[in-house]
Amino acid sequence: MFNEKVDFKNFYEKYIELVFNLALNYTANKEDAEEIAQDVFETVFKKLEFFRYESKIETWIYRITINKSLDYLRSKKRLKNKFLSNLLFFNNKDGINEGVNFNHPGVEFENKESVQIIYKCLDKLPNNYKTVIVLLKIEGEPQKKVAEIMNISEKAVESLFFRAKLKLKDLLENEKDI
Amino acid sequence: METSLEVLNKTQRVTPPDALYNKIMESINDRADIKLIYASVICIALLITINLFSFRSYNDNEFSSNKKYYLDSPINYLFYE
Repeated sequence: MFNEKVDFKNFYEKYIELVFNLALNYTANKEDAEEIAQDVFETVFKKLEFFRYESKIETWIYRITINKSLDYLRSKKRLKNKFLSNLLFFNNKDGINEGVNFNHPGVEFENKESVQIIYKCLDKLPNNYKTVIVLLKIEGEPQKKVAEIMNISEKAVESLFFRAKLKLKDLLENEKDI
Repeated sequence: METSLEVLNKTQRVTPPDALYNKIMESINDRADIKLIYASVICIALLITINLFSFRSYNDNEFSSNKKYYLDSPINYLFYE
């Protein structure tokens, strides 16, 4: 547990960029990433005393951020579904998965449109596919580290990434057809 | 496909807003206050339960003492219309 306010400040300064950017790469929305970062640091503040140091603290923070981001996206999607079905009195399945409210400050203007389409498709991928793409391709983490974060073997990361790429390719092609 | 994913590689790191630290500290402190509120609510609920319980047991005693009085009274003590 943090005894001094200064300790937490140092901890925050060390990891905020990691947490914020990872959350941003999941949600593609600055406000959402801020909310997730807030949630992550609250959890860390509460749970650090129970951390058993069986893994690196950075890996632990990665896992918390990933779980919080996925939970956040899930609850947001659920809320959106409920709102739409209440509003329109019918199940607008095409409209529901319109995807993320894109506001990623790290994406260059000329790439914005294509990245937005990729994010829309990423949003439809299963969680582990999404995670492997975010960590390997957007965060640029090495395969070994991704394996450590996801708690699977390097071989499993490789095959997961291969399958994720195929699924994403399908989704992107469908998106082009539309 | 690779071209699409290469676009993702170009995503730049973003500096988090400065105000975020204060926001986090505020919410952590608010959480502490919420804990205090919960504790107070639990205490009040407990007090009310104890009061209700003692009130009920007092009433039960009253009834049982009266019952004893009626049961012990002689038969000619009873009133018949």
